[in-house]
Amino acid sequence: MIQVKNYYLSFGKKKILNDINYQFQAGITAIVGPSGSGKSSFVLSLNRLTDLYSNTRYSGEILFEDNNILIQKKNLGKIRHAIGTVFQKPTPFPVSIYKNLELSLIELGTVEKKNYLEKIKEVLKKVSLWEDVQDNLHKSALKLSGGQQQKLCIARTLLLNPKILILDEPCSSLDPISTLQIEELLIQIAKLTPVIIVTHNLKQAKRIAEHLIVFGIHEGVGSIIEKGRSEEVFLAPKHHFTKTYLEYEAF
Amino acid sequence: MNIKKNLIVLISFPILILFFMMISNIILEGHAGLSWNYFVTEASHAGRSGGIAPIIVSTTIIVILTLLISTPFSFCSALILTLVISKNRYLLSLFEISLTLLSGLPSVVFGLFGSAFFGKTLGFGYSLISGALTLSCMVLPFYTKILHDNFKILPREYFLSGKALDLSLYQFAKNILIPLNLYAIAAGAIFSISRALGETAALIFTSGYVDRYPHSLLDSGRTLSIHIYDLALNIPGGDQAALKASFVFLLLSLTINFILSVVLKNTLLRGLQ
Amino acid sequence: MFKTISYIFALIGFILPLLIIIYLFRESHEAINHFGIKKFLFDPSWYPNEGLVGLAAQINGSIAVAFLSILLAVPSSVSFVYTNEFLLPKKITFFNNLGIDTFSGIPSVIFGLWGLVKVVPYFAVNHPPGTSLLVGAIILGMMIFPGLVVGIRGLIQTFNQHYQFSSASLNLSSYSYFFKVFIPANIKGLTGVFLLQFGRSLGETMAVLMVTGNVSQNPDSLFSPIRTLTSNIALEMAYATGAHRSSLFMSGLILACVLLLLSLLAIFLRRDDHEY
Repeated sequence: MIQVKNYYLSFGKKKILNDINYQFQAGITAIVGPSGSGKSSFVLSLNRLTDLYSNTRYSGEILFEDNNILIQKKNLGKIRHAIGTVFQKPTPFPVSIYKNLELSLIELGTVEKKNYLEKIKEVLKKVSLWEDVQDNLHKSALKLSGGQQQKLCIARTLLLNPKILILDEPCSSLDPISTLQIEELLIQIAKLTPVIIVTHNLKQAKRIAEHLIVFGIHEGVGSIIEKGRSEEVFLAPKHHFTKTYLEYEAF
Repeated sequence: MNIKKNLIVLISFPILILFFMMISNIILEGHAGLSWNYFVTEASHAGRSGGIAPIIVSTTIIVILTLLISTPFSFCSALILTLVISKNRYLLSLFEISLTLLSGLPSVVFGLFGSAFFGKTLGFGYSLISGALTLSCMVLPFYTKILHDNFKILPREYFLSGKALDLSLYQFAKNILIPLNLYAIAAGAIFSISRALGETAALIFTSGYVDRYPHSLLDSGRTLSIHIYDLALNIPGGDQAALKASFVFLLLSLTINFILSVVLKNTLLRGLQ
Repeated sequence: MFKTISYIFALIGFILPLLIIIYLFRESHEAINHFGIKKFLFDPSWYPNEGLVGLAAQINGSIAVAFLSILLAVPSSVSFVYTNEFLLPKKITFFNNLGIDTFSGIPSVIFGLWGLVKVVPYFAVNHPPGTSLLVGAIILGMMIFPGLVVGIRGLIQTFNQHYQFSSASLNLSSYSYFFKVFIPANIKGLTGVFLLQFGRSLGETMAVLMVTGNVSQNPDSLFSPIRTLTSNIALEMAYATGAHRSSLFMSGLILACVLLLLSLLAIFLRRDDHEY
């Protein structure tokens, strides 16, 4: 499990996150909040992907398996394998479907080449993509629909055997049917692997999440406004901001 | 795996090493005997000794002329491209492709054209003005492209306010367009200078070989690049003098190019191709 | 007033390419009539004073030296971009790129001069006369190297904007990312870059002139001296008259057409990039 303690984040002079504290648990945790409240930056911090931005500065602790990943200098790759990420816009590499998944297997390094196809079939079945693509594994991944591409992205991340899966608004550019399919997939995954999902869609959060974190902008910087079990927060929000936000978004 | 990576790193550097060898050879062998005199005396013994004063004069005149000619043409072309032709997508593509194609033509072709058109048809013969006109043709597509790229990303508001105030095209250009695009104009100008200096093939048929002081714009004169070429290929024993001139030339072009890179980075990072 | 002048200036600027082609045609007219196109392109005997104007040797020379220069420069430039952008620390990358940008402006005579006084003598020892196809290719390879690097670098930077995060989240090795994803996905763009520089090699005059020996013969070995179309024009224009001069214009026209075609191809390849 990931534990975040007193985490501050800024990009250059701009402060992004203020004093974040949270202990992640099993199941699905949904992170909601208005735009600009730092949700994406927060989840990207969990495996140090924020390092790819320029002038990233942070303080505090993010503990994963008893290590503070913030002070780790080497082996960030291992962390990113263990804490997998799926992004908002589906970004399969512009190569074949087979190749996309093969790349993950090569990076994993523990599977023999003769078993590749088997593993690929396995994971594609898991994300309900096998039926659609089994005859077209060598066609470009870009020819798939948005929903299929996103499932592919989830698949390539799953191949790395992550211990935690992070998704940053994975369905915001997808149609409702694909969205539901991916939600079902996440529920399945969450039985074994904790899932953290950032979403704008409160209905989605209600549908699938056990835990809820509400982000908001406090004094110009992103902070956690409220957190707890999702039914409790939805039924009886304690903070004034949460109340308004939940009502507003729930048209 | 490591073998592959090592191989890759290994083949990255041979050409760079050649570059360094070239530059160091020229610096080490060319700086000998360089003095202030070199820049103010005329050449003697067909260039084997003496200085390069008349060559500097010719080169400077050609460069300045090229700048003077190409700037208004490029500016107006970019202006019309942005304001008029952009209304029609196909026309815009046509012109942009035309400019790109022009920029791909080799310098000899410009030399041939220059000698036929400016030299024969317009009657300028072998002269500084022929050379400058030819160079302006070469430089035009690049200069226009830099300006146009910068003009077209200007927010609409500038153009609208110009219309609203009922500014004439001249006033618009002078008071709004130019001040906002100084870096791009500078980049284009520096590029023209760099190109004009570096050209040889386009000039041997248009501005000629003569190594005395030019007496008028219609007189022939040689530039530094032609001087080096002549010394290297046509004058036996001219190697040393060629290296000396190359040293000066190299320093000059490296400096100008360095400045150009810096200025370009301050425009919209739009490259030249 | 300013408006009218602007329009006139712009118009002149835009009809320039047309004007150039027209003039080339005009001046080569005489030669075409005199000798016929087939002879130009396929006869390797270039003795204009005796009425023989076969350009085949020069055409082969130009193609050979340009092709060889690409062979030498492309693998090196691709590896260099990989090494520079992915393996070296950021500060060194910046410094290298600055160097490359500056080198790209070194005038061709300097390459030619260095080739003549340093590289040619080196080869002359074992393979006289020294001035040859190989030296030409080496010098040209140096000249197009910065152009290749800048072109490839542009492609990888655009590519990174879209895929950098995905790649990092999977901890893809830089080797996989560059050679297994970037290159296969950008074959068209890369080919465009290579074509452009091939065109540049074809059109280069001074540097090849100074190091290839200028003998009008078909290149039969790496060390044989050759003459390119461009050096042909540069050397003989000064004293050519009548049909001889006209044939030089003809070779200029051939060059122009080939380069226009290459540029068009490169433009279409760039446009053909898939949407990310």
